[in-house]
Amino acid sequence: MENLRNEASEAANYVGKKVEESGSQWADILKEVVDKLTGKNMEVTYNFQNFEIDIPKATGPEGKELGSAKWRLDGKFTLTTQLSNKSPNIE
Amino acid sequence: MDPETRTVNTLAEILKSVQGKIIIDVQDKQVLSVSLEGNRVVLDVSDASIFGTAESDSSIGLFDGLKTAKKLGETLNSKGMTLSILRKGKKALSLGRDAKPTLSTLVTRTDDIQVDSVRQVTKLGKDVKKHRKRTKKSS
Repeated sequence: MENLRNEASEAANYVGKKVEESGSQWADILKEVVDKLTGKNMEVTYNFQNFEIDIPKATGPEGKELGSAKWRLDGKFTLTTQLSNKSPNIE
Repeated sequence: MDPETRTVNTLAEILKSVQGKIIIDVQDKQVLSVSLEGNRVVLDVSDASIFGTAESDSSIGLFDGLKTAKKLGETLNSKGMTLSILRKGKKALSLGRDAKPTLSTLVTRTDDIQVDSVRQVTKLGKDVKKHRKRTKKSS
């Protein structure tokens, strides 16, 4: 029982240290993800499953009322990036 | 209100109006899935390399962001939202409204973060570090 408590305490301390580690904003993590998803020579597939976006009512230019809407996405799209050479010698 | 809080607030509002699931595959391999269920967002990390391959010196891992997670957890709670982070389908961390911290309160010093599995959080951190080391070696 004592061992278990010690193990739990050590594990909690480990997580605690990590939590206390300085630096770093979530924006940087997001940057990493975007870098990865837009990297060179990459093929990224986004698979949307029953994806729904509620667009709320809004007031447009000149006070025009814009009604609400629901957008639905189902299916996948693949984004492929390719690195191509750009040589100044080629005319 | 500071810009970071404003951003999280706006993001929370947008997420509330979206429902469904997105699965992201890189080179035919699933790396991430995001499920949006109104007040609940489930982020499943299948391949942690997505967080650690940028070639910048300021590149950071998931764990390094946990300090900010405290603030994120508090904001999500105030918006009535919960973010669950899974590693390969297994629960690792919960932030926000439904977080029920027990032992983790002692280390995170907030009621808005629940460590569901120390094992999975540790593994997730190791996954990220492993990929970052590999990237540094190859560059």
